[in-house]
Amino acid sequence: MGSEPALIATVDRIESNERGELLAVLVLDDGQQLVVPLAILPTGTRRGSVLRLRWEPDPATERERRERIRSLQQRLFGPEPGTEQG
Amino acid sequence: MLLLGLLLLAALTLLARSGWLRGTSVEPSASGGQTTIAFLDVGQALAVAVVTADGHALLYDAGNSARDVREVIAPFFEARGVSRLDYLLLSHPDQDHVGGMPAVLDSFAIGTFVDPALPSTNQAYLETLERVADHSIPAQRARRGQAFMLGEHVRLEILWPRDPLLRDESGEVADNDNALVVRLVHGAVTVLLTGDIEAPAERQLVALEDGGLRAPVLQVSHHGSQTSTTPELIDAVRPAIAVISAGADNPYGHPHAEVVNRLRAAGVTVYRTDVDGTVLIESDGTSYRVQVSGGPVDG
Repeated sequence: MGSEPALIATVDRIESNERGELLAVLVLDDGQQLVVPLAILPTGTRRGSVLRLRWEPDPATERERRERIRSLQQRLFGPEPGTEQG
Repeated sequence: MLLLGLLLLAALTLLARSGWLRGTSVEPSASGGQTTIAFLDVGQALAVAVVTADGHALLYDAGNSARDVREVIAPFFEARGVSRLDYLLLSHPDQDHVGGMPAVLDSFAIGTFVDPALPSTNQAYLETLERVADHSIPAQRARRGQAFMLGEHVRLEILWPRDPLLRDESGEVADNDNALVVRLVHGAVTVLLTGDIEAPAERQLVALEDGGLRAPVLQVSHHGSQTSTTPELIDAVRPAIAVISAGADNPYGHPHAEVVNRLRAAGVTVYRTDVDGTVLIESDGTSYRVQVSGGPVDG
């Protein structure tokens, strides 16, 4: 497990937004920060927890979003000229 | 002789940084007063605002996020009494260009949305299109050859992209290389906005314009990345000044030293938003003056 290339994030602190939702401030080892709802992190995550980030393709969402954008573009700009309409 | 040349270069540089310079175009100077072109300091992103003397305005790209709009873009326009943008132009749907667009659409009335309409999965771009549709804002698919007037005295010419769109090595429609390139013409003063185009698009653009690409003011493409601003482009544009929009200590090392050195070696005065803050070009249609904020613009 430890030998896989991965990003390591430390839960630097827990903040709350104006709606009272708890937000985890994740700090990667190179200093980049990611602020995410604490609720989506593994149960028991707390300040000081160290997380290994994993990436998973989401082709269904990608396809859906690409199609929504293409559909809106056709509605707003008309049919795609030239070769784009594959 | 060398000494004389160096002295002349130094004098021109000083003039460019501090005072009025004459445009290179030979167009009539019926300018209608002063037009402001602002390269706003939105960090590692791009946002260029234009306001004419008679209150017409446009925005070319909208920074990274709603925060850029709230803290930089909206205050700039509000300080000038602008609540409606004649044109909202998107160079391409990358986050550092489209991220603030939804907030702009929430904050300003928009005359026309101009967009190259490239394939994308960017969420901010999706929200942008949804707002344009919901508000029934006229939308224009930007392609080479189109032109618009901003008020009576500023002309926008779309120089890029053109059909068929450029494709990358994998056959996908290229993103940066199909970015919207706009030439702003205010009398004799011309400003070239290049988004993030890279060497392949630059090569085609230089060939298509065939000597017609000269502009005294250049927005340096792709935040000063070495992927762009080829010697051929610099030679074709022959700018007096170049503006690089980049964030301090960004992870990409923008602007790359190679590009800055190339511009300076060509005698171009380089401004950087990460160093100079917001860069303002004040054009009266025959000449222009450069002002830097060194920090946030308060109007």
